[in-house]
Amino acid sequence: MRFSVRRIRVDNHIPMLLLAPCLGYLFFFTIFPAIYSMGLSLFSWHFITDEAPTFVGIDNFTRAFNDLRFLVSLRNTFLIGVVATSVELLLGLFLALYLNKSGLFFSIARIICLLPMMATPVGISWSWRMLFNEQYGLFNKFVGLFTGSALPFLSDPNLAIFSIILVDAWQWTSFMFLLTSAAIQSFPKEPLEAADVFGASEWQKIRYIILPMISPVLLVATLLRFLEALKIFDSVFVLTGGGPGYSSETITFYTYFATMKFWSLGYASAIAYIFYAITFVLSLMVIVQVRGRLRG
Amino acid sequence: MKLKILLKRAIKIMGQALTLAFTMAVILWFLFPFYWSFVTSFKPPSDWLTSKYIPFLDFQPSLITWERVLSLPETHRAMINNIIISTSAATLALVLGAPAAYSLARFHFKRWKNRDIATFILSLRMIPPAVVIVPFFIIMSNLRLLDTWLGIVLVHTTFVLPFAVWIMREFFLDLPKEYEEAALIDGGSQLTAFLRIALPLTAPGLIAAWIFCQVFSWNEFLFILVLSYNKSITMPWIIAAGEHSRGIEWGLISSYTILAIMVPITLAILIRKYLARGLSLGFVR
Repeated sequence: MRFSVRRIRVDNHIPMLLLAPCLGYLFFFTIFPAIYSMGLSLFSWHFITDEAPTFVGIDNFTRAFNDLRFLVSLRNTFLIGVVATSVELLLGLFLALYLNKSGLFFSIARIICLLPMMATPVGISWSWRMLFNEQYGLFNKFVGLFTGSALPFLSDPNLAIFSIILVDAWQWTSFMFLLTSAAIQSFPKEPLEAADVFGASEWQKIRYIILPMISPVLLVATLLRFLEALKIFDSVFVLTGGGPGYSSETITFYTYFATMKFWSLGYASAIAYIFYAITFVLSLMVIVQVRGRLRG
Repeated sequence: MKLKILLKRAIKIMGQALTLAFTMAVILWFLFPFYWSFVTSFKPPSDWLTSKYIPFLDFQPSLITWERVLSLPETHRAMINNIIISTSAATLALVLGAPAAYSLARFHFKRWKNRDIATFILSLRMIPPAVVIVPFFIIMSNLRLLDTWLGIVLVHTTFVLPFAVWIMREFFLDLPKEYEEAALIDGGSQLTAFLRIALPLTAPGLIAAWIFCQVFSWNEFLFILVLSYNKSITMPWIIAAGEHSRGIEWGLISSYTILAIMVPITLAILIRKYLARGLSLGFVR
């Protein structure tokens, strides 16, 4: 047995033995399903009628691009993703910068800022649905004070999307806050102390020291959040159920619907794959960033 | 001149007050939906949808809803299912993930670079759940695993396994390898070095990763919805199925929500030190 300086070198099978179960599991339960789904997207298959799947080539894909419902869900998904992620980035960054102080108030505030992210999304969406309620909801009580009429937060096709965005921003600002403040705390304090010595203002310290230091983290956090925001499903399911009509459906919701309500499994796979293709570039960006910082 | 200085100071104080007020508003905004579910769960059914929000002052709190929720067999089943599923998924993820993480942190692989294997595992996390809804449904229905614990656990594990590997890999890298080398010199094998030395020494990390995976599995909803309908339903499932034939029972849903939320929130506060590391896949340390 030889020892290298940095690592233990071994010539037996134990490393592979330790790694194999994990890779095997991922192969069987992630790669195989993904490939299966890719194949299925070329077939037409109505599960419930018990017909055998028939090969239709790229028909499912051409059908998707002529399917208004799919295009609407694609638009909604990216609208929610872009707007919600921007709000979360700005608000999370603000909170992280402001709450980065010692003291009881700030430590309690930092814990509170973590809570929304951990709350079961379907549960908390019901709480929002009560608040949004057109006749009795608390929001409309306040809106009523100013305008005298109620706002249809969830039943107006245009407003429904923004209600979903509001709930998403509520839930996931936490995520941006958490990653940003962890990044701020992980950096050395010396540059900031030096800036204090030279009499730099609070804003100058943020602009010229903190922001440049945390920008790689901000980039990765934003990309991760954006990718997750595009997968939005739980809050849509509870808040609007995709409605009114299908005006607030997102891609994951439509895929679920095509699977469990239409039972057209081939078509559902096809739209899921179109979505995957679109987000693939973004995932690559995250992967490249994270890989570049890998230790070991 | 003096006035100018005074004015400047006033503006500064105003700015600070505004920032503080804004922060307080955001924090209240964060807390309010929790409070609203909590309060609604203590309202008598006639007050469920009213905008009364201060117990005792606005309305007389009652335990009617809670008594009903806690005596419903459905609640017990969902809670038990949730506990079993999230515990098993997290455990399975670590049983598979910790050895893999150790292997990636300690050994050199000849054919592929370690960081490429780690990156490959990460890239699987990036596959949108929508892509695997259909295949999971077909696989589980072929294996006769629809509406069973095992089916859900297998699916949840696939989503938390990459996290488990990444978090544990960081912990093993932080561990000085002199301890294991000592064991090897004493004649132990690589396997005993891992099981007897590395694993116990990273116990805090192991627990953090385990809890992290539990929280994810606990809150997961899409695949519960697709893969279960009766026996293996969890709290998110019964919360989402709130629209009964009798209309929406707001108080009932609110108590379910409070029940479901308590667990992941408590767990998350316990491991808050490790949350950022896990969620950013080790990007933030």
